[in-house]
Amino acid sequence: MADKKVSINGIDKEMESERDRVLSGDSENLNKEDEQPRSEAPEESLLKEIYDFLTSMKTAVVLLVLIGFASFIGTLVPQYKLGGQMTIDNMKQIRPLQYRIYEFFGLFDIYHTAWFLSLLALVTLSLLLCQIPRVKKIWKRTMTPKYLADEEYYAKFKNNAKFHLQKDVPGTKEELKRLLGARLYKIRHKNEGEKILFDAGRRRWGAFASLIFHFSFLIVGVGIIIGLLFGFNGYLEIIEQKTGYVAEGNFTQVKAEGPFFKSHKPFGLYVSEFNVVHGPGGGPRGFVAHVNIIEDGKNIKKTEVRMNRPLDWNGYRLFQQSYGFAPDIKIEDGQNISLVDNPVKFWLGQDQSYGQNYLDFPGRENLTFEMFVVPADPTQFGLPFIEMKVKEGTADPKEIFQGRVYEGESANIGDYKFTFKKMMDYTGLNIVYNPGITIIYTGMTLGSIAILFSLYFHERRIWAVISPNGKGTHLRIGGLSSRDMPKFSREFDAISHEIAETIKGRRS
Amino acid sequence: MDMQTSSVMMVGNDLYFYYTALLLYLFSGMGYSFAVILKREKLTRISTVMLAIGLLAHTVSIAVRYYEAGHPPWTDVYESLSVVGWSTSLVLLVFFNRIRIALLGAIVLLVNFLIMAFGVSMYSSPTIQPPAILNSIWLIIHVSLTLVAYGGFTVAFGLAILYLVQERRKKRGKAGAPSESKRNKLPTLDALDSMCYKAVSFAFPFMTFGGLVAGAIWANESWGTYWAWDPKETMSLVTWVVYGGYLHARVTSGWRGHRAAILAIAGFAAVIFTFYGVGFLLPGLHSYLGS
Repeated sequence: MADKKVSINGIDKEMESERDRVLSGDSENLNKEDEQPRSEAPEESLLKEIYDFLTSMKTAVVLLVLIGFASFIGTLVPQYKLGGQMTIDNMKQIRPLQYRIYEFFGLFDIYHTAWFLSLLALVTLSLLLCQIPRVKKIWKRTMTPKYLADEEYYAKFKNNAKFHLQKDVPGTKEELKRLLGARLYKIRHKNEGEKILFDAGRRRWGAFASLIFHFSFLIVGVGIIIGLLFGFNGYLEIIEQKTGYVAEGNFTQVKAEGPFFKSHKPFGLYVSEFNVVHGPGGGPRGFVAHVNIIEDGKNIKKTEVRMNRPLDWNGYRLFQQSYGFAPDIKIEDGQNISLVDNPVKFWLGQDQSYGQNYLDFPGRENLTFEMFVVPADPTQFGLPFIEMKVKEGTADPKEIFQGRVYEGESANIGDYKFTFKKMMDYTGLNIVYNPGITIIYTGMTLGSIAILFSLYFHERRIWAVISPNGKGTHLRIGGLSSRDMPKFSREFDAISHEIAETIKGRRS
Repeated sequence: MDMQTSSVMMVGNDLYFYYTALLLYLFSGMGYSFAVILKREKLTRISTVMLAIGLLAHTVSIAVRYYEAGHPPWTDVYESLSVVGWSTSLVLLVFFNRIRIALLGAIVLLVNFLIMAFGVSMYSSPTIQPPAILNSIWLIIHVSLTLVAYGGFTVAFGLAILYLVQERRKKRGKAGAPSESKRNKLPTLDALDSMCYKAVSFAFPFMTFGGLVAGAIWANESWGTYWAWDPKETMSLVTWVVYGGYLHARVTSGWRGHRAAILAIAGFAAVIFTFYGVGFLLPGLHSYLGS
């Protein structure tokens, strides 16, 4: 038995399909007795056609392949929402035709195009609809006993055995019950004339794990939709020692707002300090905004928003997402009129080692400041400084200044006076309200557990028929496993061995 | 603020153990190859012992790295590849204990050697701090589980290749020739197919929970967005779908053998692209790998 030749060709393949049919609940067709002629009237309604299309495995596969391919394309084509703006602008200038084609198909924001979202919706629907017939099948297969009385049928199992045993029918029945019970099989049996039929199953719930796994997609999907309909995602930049308001109309950017989102109680955040926490090597290890929460004009609480440690307030969740430099500068002209006298946000350069800004002034079109701010290097001594180029002149702007101004210093630039009063930072907070996230997490956790059970715990089933044979009995058994046949074969062999040993008899 | 400079410790002690492991894996892989060519059973045993010692040295290397860096050691290219190599060797050793196919050892260890040799070429000092965003408990869960999944997928890839090799040999009428020693004889096609399936089913839940779920939770806890279609996210979803397709096609459409092996190889190609391609070629939230 152990060195049984296994090949995927020929007869074994037939057996495998037998197995699939038995386990998938189609075994009724094998046991001709309870055959039901499939007399579904051909319903030619559109609804039925759509249903058939969606529940077809082929459709699901084609949809998945399309989604996979489109997703892959999305990783190659620059995306607006993933920082691809500059590359796209570049393409628009250099290769306008390619740009127009890409733009037409929405390739620059491929994951939010109507066609991509429709594909996602269709595949989810298809996956779910495919499960509906399975629920009934699996329920029937696992919950209702199925007895195989026809001894000829057992020969079709890859794992089957025949015994001539010395014990009588009731004795054999008790022994078989004990043997299978010791291996944690749940046993159902019935008498049929002189015969006793067994249907023993183990880990029958394993079959439901796969169903639960697929339904967990539905839960995740519901969570996503709730988030999209009722949720909110905004972005707010606040300069140190200033107050920003988490309130409608005050956000730097509203990234997403569900049509049914209702604003929560507004509150203010006074950012007393923003810090980049450096590790021993000098690289940033964390970002912290120290904040005071202000409600109705009163300081309510002193707390912090730290990277990876969001702050929950009034139903919003605040994430320390970004930061930048906002040096406090003052520019005065010859008549002591201030052109600027406040912290100015600079946008961050590539590796966050500098900030960049470009200032011009209404009414003084001929004056431009091109500035780079460099913060103090944590690993070295030194002050932050602003490196700048100042130009003046209408037709042919002349450079009137180029140089560095350190924190706390001033420079005279022509008639103007530039002062770098203080280095300041600003924090960029991602503000989220997502009522669907718990549902999404639930669905994902459930799915993870279910896939584990579905793949690691295999349903097994053993059938047997005991019939009298002179003074002793004749025992025929056969079994199947939903997956991992080799392991089941070993178990089946062990059981066969035990039967021959303990019930005293020989295997034929 | 710490005034320490990053030049204090350029090479950590982890590297000695890493090289020991690398060499032992190489010798072990060579041993397996010779075992196939010379049909010597003893060589297979010696190779397996070397693999086990190599794995031990590798484990020490990762532990030392953890100690010296002060953070879970899977934040940059070298560290991540080290963990991929480690889990590949572990899965191989566990599998090998059961099936003993020298050719599988030879193929998987060769792939593993290449992965790890590339890893050490990207060696970074343990004192270099990982980006702040990686300073999270979900990093440990997300990355470690994903890398275990990659280890399982690597072994599945090796088995799929073996399947195709055996299939060719069979067509040429070589398989089962009496000259083959019993131990180094390749298992039957059916057994290879079933082992490949086992390796994928072992890895898939790790990929599901570690790669996708823990990744989404981490993103949500760090940025407030559970899914942003970042290239790495997208590609790991594609990888997951390919392996999901493998498992599915098998159960529902009876795709076994040749076609299943091709799918397992396609899945591994997606793994490689997710891991290397996205990290090095494409920008995005995960591209810290390249820096």
